[in-house]
Parts: sequence; C-alpha cells; structure tokens
Amino acid sequence: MFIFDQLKREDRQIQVITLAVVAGMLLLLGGLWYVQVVSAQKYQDNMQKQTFRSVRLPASRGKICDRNGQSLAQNRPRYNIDLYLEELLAPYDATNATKLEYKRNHPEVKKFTPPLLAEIGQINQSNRYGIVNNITMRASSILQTPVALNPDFFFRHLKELTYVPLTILTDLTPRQLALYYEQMSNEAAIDLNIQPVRFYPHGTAAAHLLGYVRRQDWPEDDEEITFQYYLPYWKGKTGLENAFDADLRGKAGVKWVLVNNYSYRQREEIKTPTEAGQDLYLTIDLDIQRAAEKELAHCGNAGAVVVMNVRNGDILALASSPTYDPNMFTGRISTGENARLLDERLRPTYNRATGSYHPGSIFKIITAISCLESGLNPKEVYTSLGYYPNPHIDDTAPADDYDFEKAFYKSSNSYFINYGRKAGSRRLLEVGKRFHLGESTELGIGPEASGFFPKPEEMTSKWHESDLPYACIGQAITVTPVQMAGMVSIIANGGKLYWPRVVSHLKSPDTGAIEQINSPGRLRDTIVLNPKHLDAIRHAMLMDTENPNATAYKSFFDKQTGSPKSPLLANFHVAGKTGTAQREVFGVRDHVTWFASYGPYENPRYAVIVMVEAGIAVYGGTYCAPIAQKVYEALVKSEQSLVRAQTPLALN
Amino acid sequence: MFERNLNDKTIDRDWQLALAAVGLMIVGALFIFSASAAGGGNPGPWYKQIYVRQIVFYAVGITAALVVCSMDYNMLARWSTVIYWATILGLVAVMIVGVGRYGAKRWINLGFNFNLQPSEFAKIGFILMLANYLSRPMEELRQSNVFWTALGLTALPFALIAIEPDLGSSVVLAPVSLVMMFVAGVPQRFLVRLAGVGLLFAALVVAGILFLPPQYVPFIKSYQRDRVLTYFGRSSLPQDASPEARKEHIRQVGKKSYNVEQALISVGSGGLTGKGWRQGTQYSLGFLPQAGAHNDFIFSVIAEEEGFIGSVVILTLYTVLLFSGIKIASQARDRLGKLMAIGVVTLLFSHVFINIGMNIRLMPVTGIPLPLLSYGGSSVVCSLIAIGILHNVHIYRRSY
Repeated sequence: MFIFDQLKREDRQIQVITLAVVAGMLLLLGGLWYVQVVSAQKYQDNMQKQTFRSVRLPASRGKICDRNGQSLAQNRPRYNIDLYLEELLAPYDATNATKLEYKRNHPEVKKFTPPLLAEIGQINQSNRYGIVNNITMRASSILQTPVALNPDFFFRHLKELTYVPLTILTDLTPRQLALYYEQMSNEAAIDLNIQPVRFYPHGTAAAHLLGYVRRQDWPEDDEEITFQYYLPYWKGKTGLENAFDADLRGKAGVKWVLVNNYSYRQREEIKTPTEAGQDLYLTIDLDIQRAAEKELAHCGNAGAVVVMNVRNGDILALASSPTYDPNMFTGRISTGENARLLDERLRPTYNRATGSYHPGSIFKIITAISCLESGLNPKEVYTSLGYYPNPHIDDTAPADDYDFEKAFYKSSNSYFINYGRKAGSRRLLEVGKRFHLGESTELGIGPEASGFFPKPEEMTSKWHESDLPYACIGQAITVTPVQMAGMVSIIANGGKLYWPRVVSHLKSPDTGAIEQINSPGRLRDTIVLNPKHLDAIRHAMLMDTENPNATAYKSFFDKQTGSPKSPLLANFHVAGKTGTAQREVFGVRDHVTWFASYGPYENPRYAVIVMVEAGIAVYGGTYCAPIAQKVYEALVKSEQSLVRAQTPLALN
Repeated sequence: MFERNLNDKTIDRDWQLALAAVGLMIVGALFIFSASAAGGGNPGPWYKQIYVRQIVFYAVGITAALVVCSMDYNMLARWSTVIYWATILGLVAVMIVGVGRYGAKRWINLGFNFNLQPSEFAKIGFILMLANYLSRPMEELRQSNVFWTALGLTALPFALIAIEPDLGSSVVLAPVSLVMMFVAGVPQRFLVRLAGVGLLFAALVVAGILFLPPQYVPFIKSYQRDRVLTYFGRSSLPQDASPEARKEHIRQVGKKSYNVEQALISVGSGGLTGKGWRQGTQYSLGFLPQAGAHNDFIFSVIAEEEGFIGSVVILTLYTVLLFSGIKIASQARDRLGKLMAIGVVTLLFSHVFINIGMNIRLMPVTGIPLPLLSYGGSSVVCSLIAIGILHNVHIYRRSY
C-alpha cells in the first residue's frame, strides 16, 4: 500500500511525517468510532429529546346509548380559536429591535453591556406581545366578544409550550362561528380548533346511571409513557362513565411535534393513532326513563323509579330524584349549582334507586309468603282492633275482620304482625334469604346499597326477637328499590330471580365488533314457591289496584265511575302493593312511601317500583301509585308503537 | 506501478491526488446543497444558492491550480518573495478596510457579495516563501541567523492573523513552519527548543486563562478565553460577579458550548449508517448554527446524514490526498519541491485534524475550514492552489 511505501524509504523525515499523519488520521478515526458507533445511542436520544415533543392525543370517547340505540351521552364539538405562534415568526423578526437597529437609533452606544442587552430583550418581548395582542384584539372586535390575553400567560406559554398553539378564545357560539368564517378564516396564524366536549343530549335523563365526566388536563398515574404535553380529555367520575371509563375512553395516541431550536413547531407526525372508545349500550329505554323521571319530578319529592322486565331482569328505567344535569360538569359549575349539589338533604347526585330504605308495607309480600308457608289459611279471619296491642303498633287499616286478601289490600298491620309472629323470625329471615334480600344486586354502576337483612344464621348477632313485629310490616330491615323490583319479578314470573341488567354490551365504532358485558336473563336463583301461595299473593296485589276499598284503587280508577283513569290501561291490569315506612332523618320523623307492582296481571312483563321520600304523614297510594300508573301508560304506549314497528319490546 | 520511464515526455499526472480532490469537491457540493436546501424559507433563485457559488469557487480554484501547474515550481519560488509580501499587504489591508462579525476583521469586501479572506492566501504565500528560504544549502541552515529569519517569516503572518483576531488560523502556521524546518534539515536542537518554548508559552497562556483573573493575561480576547475554558469545562466567571453578570455570562457560555454540543449530537446521532442525504435535522431545525453549518461545521452535516461510513469515506479521501502529497514530497526533484509539498501536506493535515477534531470535541472550536468541503471562496481557491503546487512538484520532478 502506498502509505507503507513511504515508511520503507530511507528518508527519515518523511518517515516521521508519515507516522504523524497516520497517527493523526487514526486518532480521528477512533474518535469518530467512539462518537458515532459507541455513543451513537446517547446522541440519538439527545437529538430526539431536543427535536421532538410528544403530545398525548386523547381518543374520542364512546357514546352511551339506550336499548334502541338512542344516544344518552355523546360528544359535541367545541370550537376554539388557536394561534399558531410559529407563523408569526416573520412579523416578530420584522418588529424585533435587533442590536444593529438599536445601534442605528442610538449612535452613542458603543458596546452592548448586559443591562443594554436586557433592555433590548425587553423591547423584543413587548413587541412579541404586541403582535399577538393585536390579533386577539382583532378577533375580539370581529367576534364581538371581549378577548383578554394575559401577558404573563402569553409569556409562560411562549417559554414552555412554544410548539403548542395558543388558544385565545374557547367555545365559540354559532354566531361567532359564522362571524369567524365570514371575516377571519383567511387570517394568517389563526385557525379553528375543534375539541370534543362530553354532551348529554337529554340533559338530566338517566343522570345518576350515566354519571358525569370531568375535564382531565393531566394524565393519570397509570400512563406508561410520559408526554411533554397532554391534550385535555374527559374522565368519568361517577356512574357508568366511571365504571366503564377505560372502555369508553379508548386508547390515547401519540403525536410527535418536530420543533426547531427555539421550540417552534415545524412538522407533526402521528406516531401512534388513537383508538376510539367503545360505545356502551344499555338496557334502558329512553322513553320509559323520561316518563318515569317526568312523573318523579312532577311529584316534587325525592324518590326513585325502577322499571324491570320481569322475564329477564333487564332494567328499562332507573330514575332517581332530585337529579342534576351532567352537562354542568363539562364547564364551570356556578356557586349556586355547587351549593345545590352539596346539599345534604337533597343529595342530587345520590342514586336513590340503589339506596337502602325501609320497605314498609310492600314487605308484606315477604311476610305473606312466610305466613302462608307456615300453614296460614288465607280464608282465616282475624279481628283487628285498629292497632296491634303488644307492642303497641299503629294500624292504618281500621278495626275490622280481615281475611288474607282484605288484610293485604287494606294493608292491615295487625293481621301481618299477628301471623308473622306465628310464623316466627327464622321463617321470615329464611324467606328473605331465598329472595336474596340484604345482598347486593351487583348492577355495576357505582356505589350500591345492599340493604340490611340478617340471614337466618345471624339471628343471634344481628337480630332480636323484638324486631320481628316491626320487620313483619317492613320497618326493622332495609331494602333498595332495585331489590324490590327483583322481589316483585319473582312473584310475577313464578319464582325466577334474574340478575338485574343495565349494561348490555360494548360496540366498537370502527369495526362494529360487539363485546357482551352482561347477557340477558342471567338467572340468579330459582325460588320454589307454592303456586297456591303465589296465586293468593298475585290476586291480593291485583285487588290492591282494583278493589274500590284498596289503597291504590283511586290511582288507577275513577272513584265515582269506576272506569280506568287511563284508557290505555283498560285492558292492562296492574297488580301492586303500597307501602309507607317511617324513618327519622335529621331528627325529624318522616315517611318513605312505596308502590311495588307488576303488570299486566294475566301475562306479567314489567315490574314497576316507585319510592318517594314523602315527608310528613302520607301513604304510598298518594304519591307512588299515580307515578306507577303513568309509567305503565308509557310502557303500553311504547309497546303499541313497537307493535306497529313489529318488534317486541320486552321479549329479548 | 509508479516507476515510469524517465524519458517519457508525456505529462505525468497524479491521478490519485486528482481523484481524491475531485471526490472531496463532489461531496462538498452535495452537502452544501443539502445544508442550504434544508434551511427552509424562500431560498431565492438557483444562481444565488450557496452550493452554486461553491461550484463556481471550485471552477475558479481548479483554474488557479492549472495555472499553478503550468509553470515549473522554481518559477513560483522565484516569485515567492513577491507573493509573500503581497499576502502580508493583504493582511495589513484587512486591518484597515476589513469586515467581519463578532468584532473580528477577517475579510475584505470585493463587491459582488464576495468577501476575500487574506489569511488563507497568506498561508500559501508563507509556504512558498519558507520553502524558498529553507531550500538553501544544508550548511547555511545550521547557522542560527537563518533559523531566526525563518522564525521571523513565520511570526509576521502569525501575528497579523492573530490580531484580526483569528488565532485558530494563525496557529496552523506553527506546525507548518516547524515541519518544514524539520524536513529542510534545520538542526534539531533549534527545533526542540522552539517547540519547547512554543508549548511552554501555550501552556502558560492556558494556565493563565484557567487560573488567573482576565486582566493578567494580555492579548487574549474574552471569547478566546471562554473557548479555552469551555474546552476544559470551566466557567470564566469571576467569583465576585454580580447576579446580572452571572446570568448574562451563563447565557453567553451556554451559547458557545451549545455549538460544540450540537455538533457532537449531529455527528453522534448519525450512528453507523446516517440518516440519509438531506434527511439530517440538526441543521434544518437550526440546532447547528445557521451561519456555520455549511462552513466550519460541514463535517457535522455529512457525519449526521451519512454516519460513520460517510466519515470513513471522508477520512479515506483525505488520507489519499495527504499520502499522495507525502509521496510527491519524497519523490521531489530537489529540496525546494520537497519543502513545498511537505508544507502543503502539513497545512492540509492541520486543517483536517483541527476541523474534524473540533466536531468531536477533540479540539477546541476555531474557525478553521475543512479543505475543499467547507463553503468559502478563499478557502476553496487556496486549497486548490495548494493541491496545484503539490501536483506541480509531481509533474516537474523529472525535468532536469
């Protein structure tokens, strides 16, 4: 090789120079090897760190739909005006007081001392603010709304988030949007940015079930990657929004923003695309839900309505009152609204449909089974004194002779305490256990009460014999409206307890793939009941709405003419039981009133439970039965429209 | 294969040398194009592009090199005194009418948007002058007055370039002078002493910069001081500096070490195979200094886009160039030709070593261009003239 030719020569000087040059080149080669091969990773990381900013892209949140695909929760676009700072670089440069310019204007200046440089820096900064402020002022006058650009905010953004557009106006009204398109859309450096906002099109409908979301500006702890910037997203805080948050939210994507040495945005690339959240389908029927909510709101008291398909446990409506508009949580909550949300008596966000209450007389269904199974002859007549003597318990049914059916529809406390005591504590608790009282219904929509109902084996620990007379009329124990829907369904369908189902399936908006969450008609238990007992209870429940002397009669029939109040329910017989429980809240004794029912009597399809916190002395028939009557009307109406559409409502 | 018939009358060209030079020019044009095209914005018409200007410089330089080759190098030696003093005059002129940036006056504006850098031409003039002076009989070289004159011939352009200030360019003259004296046969005791004194002086200056307050180290500009301190990873701030001064200082030093850091990131992130031609981001996003990427930091651009493989190609081209030069020196007809060739080889090697070394933090940052690759008319034309001189020595090695 020609390098070594030089070394072979006799010329010593040339040899030395050859060696020196070879050494120098090898040193460079070694240095380059070290930098480019050995340490390449380190420098590639450094380069990536200074060149790319990773931005977390939230995926579009899935919808929540009712059983017919009607949207209960969706996204609506919110229009913001963004300012792209990198497009303002040319105007910045044009107005910046450079050193040269400064020297031209101040010929006396010889040297740029640090304070002088700082002064020039100040001038430059205020120029930058001026340019951006001019644009915001223009936007302000065109869109006819005050837009204030806080200098501190602007400079902080410029310093830390240079590569992110600066949002100068959020949530444009349709009018402003029109003005923008008319007069500003060609403006340089300005662009419209569309952000999804969680939107509940029916306002308060099913609010407790759906829950609400809050804007999340910073990531959760469970994020695997850390990003330099996070676009805000919506996070479910309560209800289904919370329970199915991960499915609804989808998978966030990653955007890389290529920046220059001043952190200005140059290019963007989507590193990982977002995966849209799945749509959640419920068993709720929006029409029934709204009818129930409307009637609850109409009565003005706190309460709950549960409508269940007795053939498979599907919940068609789950209403709770007072309610709130979940849309409120996507914006700023006013102090007045906040005070209402935090009111300890109203508790608008509390889902009363899964809260625990004394059932009062609707519990006589359980007591009745206990009595009948202990051998009570329904024809046997009991003479009531108008109260139960020992312990003294008031009775709303007057002193009279009662057989089973009359005692049931007149809701005689004395009768049921008398025979309930004869049947005994163990039997009552055992029937309750068969009906899975005191156990969670596992709706999976958030906190849910289990109610207080001791098991037979807990008779010594959680139960006292003196509780029995009170329990017979639904006082010493508590239940939830959803549990009561299950109980009524057992009576209606002849012994089948289904897991109540609110959530049906998830559906991918991209592929249409369906992921079943709960299949319909999951049998929880089969309760063996004597058909004769069932018939006795069913008929007694029917009499509660159809016998003119019964507690719920006037809610369904006109007392004068005896004709059904609603022509829709002329051929739809409702079987039910009213109830009133006493409780003490905040030291005041008030009442929880109930109406537990199913219909139609001949071919049961629906259980409707109404619970109203009635306040001072009233009975279940006053508040609850009329609400149930309206709900049945809605159900019949809905069935009729579906028959017209040739799809059965409650048959799946 | 290099042994030719001595009676061969055809002109003997050194194809290795020529091919290496052409290869470097092609690479230079390609990557100056890459660096300038990536700059973004509106680049203007094609004839105003810097890569076009660079190609024009190459053409001018090749023409100059051909002119240099057209006459025997003895003729050049005869004119060397004139050339030397003309370039010295140029260095004096730059002090008076020079233009430049950051307080340094390094260029003379020739109009047509072209700035001449006399220091580049001074290097050529200096090599011719010193080669001519040292080619005297060996006996005379042993006299100390010859040594002192040679030193004086070096010191004059050295000082003039240093006070521009362009210490980097002037420092290159030291190894050139030393090596030429060594090859000429100047007694080694002179050279060892000279090197010793030079190194001692350099060490004293560096130590002074590192350990003494600025006012005790004369002739050293603050930016030079900062560069040295940056290289040694030290802060040049006095202990009792005010907070504002401290802040400003951190900003200034940050700006300087920033360039080195960014050059390293460019080179290192190229990895083994690089990002591909025109795919580098360091320059286009402005992390490499916009003013420097196509001249002093062109190697960073190449190393980033072509990786270690590209770096090796560049090193290989320079190695071929340098060893062709050494071969030419060893085959030269006389000591004059040998000294000229060795001077050129040392000059080119110093430039290559300092510039590439600066890109990988082997050397401190100086404004020394990479021969034939860096953008710049004076540098390109002078490099090609230097290669022309080499080739001249090659062509006329047999014409007795």
